[in-house]
Amino acid sequence: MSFTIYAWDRRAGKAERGTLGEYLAFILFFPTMVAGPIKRYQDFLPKLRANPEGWNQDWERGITRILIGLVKKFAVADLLTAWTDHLNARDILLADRRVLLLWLFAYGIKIYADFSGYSDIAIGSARLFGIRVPENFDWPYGRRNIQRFWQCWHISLTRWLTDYVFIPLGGSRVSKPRIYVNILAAMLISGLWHGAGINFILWGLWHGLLLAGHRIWRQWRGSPSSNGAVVFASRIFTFVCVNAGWALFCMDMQTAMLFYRRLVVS
Amino acid sequence: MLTDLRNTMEYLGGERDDPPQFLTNAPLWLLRCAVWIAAIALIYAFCGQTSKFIYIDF
Repeated sequence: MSFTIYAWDRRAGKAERGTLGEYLAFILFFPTMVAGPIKRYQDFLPKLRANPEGWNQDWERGITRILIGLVKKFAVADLLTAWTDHLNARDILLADRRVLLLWLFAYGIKIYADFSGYSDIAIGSARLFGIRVPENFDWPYGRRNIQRFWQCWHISLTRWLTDYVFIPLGGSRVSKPRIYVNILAAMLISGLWHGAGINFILWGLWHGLLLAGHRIWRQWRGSPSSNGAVVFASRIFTFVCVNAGWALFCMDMQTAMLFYRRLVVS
Repeated sequence: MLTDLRNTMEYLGGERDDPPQFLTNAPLWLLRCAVWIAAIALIYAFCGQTSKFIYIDF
């Protein structure tokens, strides 16, 4: 990912050449090498070249961040495994509908704690070297619409998709039908980025449809209501819609379909 | 109030460098020590359940 960003930005003249050592430091920077946050060469380079200042604070903040990441992973995400392990065909067939919902919401919380915990560890590790990498999460659950959710969930991927897929396709400056095609294309690529399976493609499509639906709703209804009850209801609705999609993410296609069938029909 | 709570949590979690306004006169070193001790205790209590992250190993 880092290489594709570098190659694209170099071609577009957005990133300077730098030295071989700086390039290698960028693509081999171990805190973010495995699973992000996705960084950009032009943002990374000044931090790499800057003289380190405030080592004490960098170390204290970095270690705190790593510890909090480990707490999220061990004390929240792993603890929920007891419930999410049941998301398999045999247990789904035996379970009550309400229990299925509970398992799905547990997975939603687990994946957030797991991935934001991982990001905390990566960001904290980078901070130990005095380098600040982009944030990946900003309290995504509890956002009032799907667009805000994606601005706060896996932020570095959302920015990558916006800058390197959505905008090059024309972004919002094209005809209305084409905007929806662009949204769907960006989210389909997001699905494929997560895994090469039909379930991930459908997961991306689900989020693309939610984003397109939100855009249509916003154009129809105008600016969002500030009524407290409406805001609360929209936060819950967004949370439920996001969690409804996780079944496609955490199970293979056949099991996910069985899950939805049991949830709706039984 | 919610913003203060959020800022406090972000500060205690290492995301923010500066404490929220109402904490500027508090003994911050004590708070940071408490966070480290609580975090280490929780990690010790719950570690060893799994060995992989979802986003690394789908």
